[in-house]
Amino acid sequence: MTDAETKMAKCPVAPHGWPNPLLPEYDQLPEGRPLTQVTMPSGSKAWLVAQHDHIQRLLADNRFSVEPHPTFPIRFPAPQELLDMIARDAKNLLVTMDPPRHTRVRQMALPDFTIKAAEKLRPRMQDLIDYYLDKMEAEGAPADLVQALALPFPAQVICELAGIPENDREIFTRNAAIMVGTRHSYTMEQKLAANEELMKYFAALVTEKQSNPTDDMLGNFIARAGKTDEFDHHGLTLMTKMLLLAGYEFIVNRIALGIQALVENPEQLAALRADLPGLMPKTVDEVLRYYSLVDEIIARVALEDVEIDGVTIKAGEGILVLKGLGDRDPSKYPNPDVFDIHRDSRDHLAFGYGVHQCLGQHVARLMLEMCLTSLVERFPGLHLVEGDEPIELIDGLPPVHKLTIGW
Amino acid sequence: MKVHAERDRCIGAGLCTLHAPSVFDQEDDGMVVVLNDSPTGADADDARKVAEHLCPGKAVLITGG
Repeated sequence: MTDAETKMAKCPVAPHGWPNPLLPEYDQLPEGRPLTQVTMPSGSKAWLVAQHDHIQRLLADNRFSVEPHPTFPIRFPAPQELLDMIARDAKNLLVTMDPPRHTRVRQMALPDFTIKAAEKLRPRMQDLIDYYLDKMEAEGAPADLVQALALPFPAQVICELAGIPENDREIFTRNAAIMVGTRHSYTMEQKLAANEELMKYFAALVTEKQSNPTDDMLGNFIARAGKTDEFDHHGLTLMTKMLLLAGYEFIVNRIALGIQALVENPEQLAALRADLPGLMPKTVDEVLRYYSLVDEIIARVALEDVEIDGVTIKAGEGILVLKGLGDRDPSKYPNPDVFDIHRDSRDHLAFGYGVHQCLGQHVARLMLEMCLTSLVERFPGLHLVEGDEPIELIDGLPPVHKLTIGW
Repeated sequence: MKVHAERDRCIGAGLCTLHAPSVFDQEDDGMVVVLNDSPTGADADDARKVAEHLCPGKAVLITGG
């Protein structure tokens, strides 16, 4: 075993209990990034998957499950009560359901997440962006882009799309910010309290929308679910909360990171500015590819033996998909650590792959595209005032908590 | 080249429609429909890219050159 393999084999249990794609060990993957077997804290076996091609093949393979299983690769030593709670809640969450139930539930939500449904939000999104940028400009440079736009804009869009009544939005935005947006500033107790308040809120909202149906994402989902026996009231509460929270941190981070990448690469910013409509779609995909690295990794468990490139992943063994590394795979993207808005990054893994690929990707994409477009168009002198270590790592998940810009 | 989409495998991700809009469309329920089953030129390249690397449900099949 080489030094690199020894380090990799230890990775999922140390030093924080999470494999952290930004740790230097990940620069030392064995040549060609073969599947590498590791032992989880529970003693079960799992494989690290870091090649773009392997990731696509395994995530599209329905012989792998996302449902709780005795040997599912859990990356931290979890007490039994926590595992029991996760297993109980998992029955009601799209992200921890296998087909065919996953297919039925996903289809209940899909009509509100199509490309056309997202495009209908465009005019309102532009009004909101203009509102936040007018306010930022009026208060004068420098400004913290996270507080000025990246946090409040997606929260407002998500609330309007979902059909959270205006007077209730503060409950969502305040608690969502505690749970995801700026996690480093809050204790576990505060996060649990925020979760409890959200659960109570969504339980009441489900009841309200069941008796007075509304034509919005949650109203439609609750109405479609009501024609089936897929969910009880608690299940609907968990599911609706997840639908709202799932993409929030992702998009907050991408708006801030996308701007950071552009101002740090002035030649590319100039090229983009010269051909915004032509280069923006590629820029969005490149931002998503380049910063896949900051995301949580994806776990699955094999339901039967799976052969891949001469390796047998045995039934009961897990896979840990390092999609951030897949998006920096040099055999897929030459010079992968270079941010390059001219490359073809359309097959990035930022939204995952396979049947669980992000449901809200078109809404997220549109928010990112419109924020980048508005900032680039409106502020010719856009620049970073202080980095302030914009990427802070907490348990391997780095929210961007501050990005100070001038213009 | 012939493009075929299997609705049974479609998960409604919409990447076909996003990246090859003259070949595919996404219906209101999210599912794929083929608009042009014999694309040429750049449209054919995009359709191939969708089939090989973009469609997360592996629902797009391409036959012939």
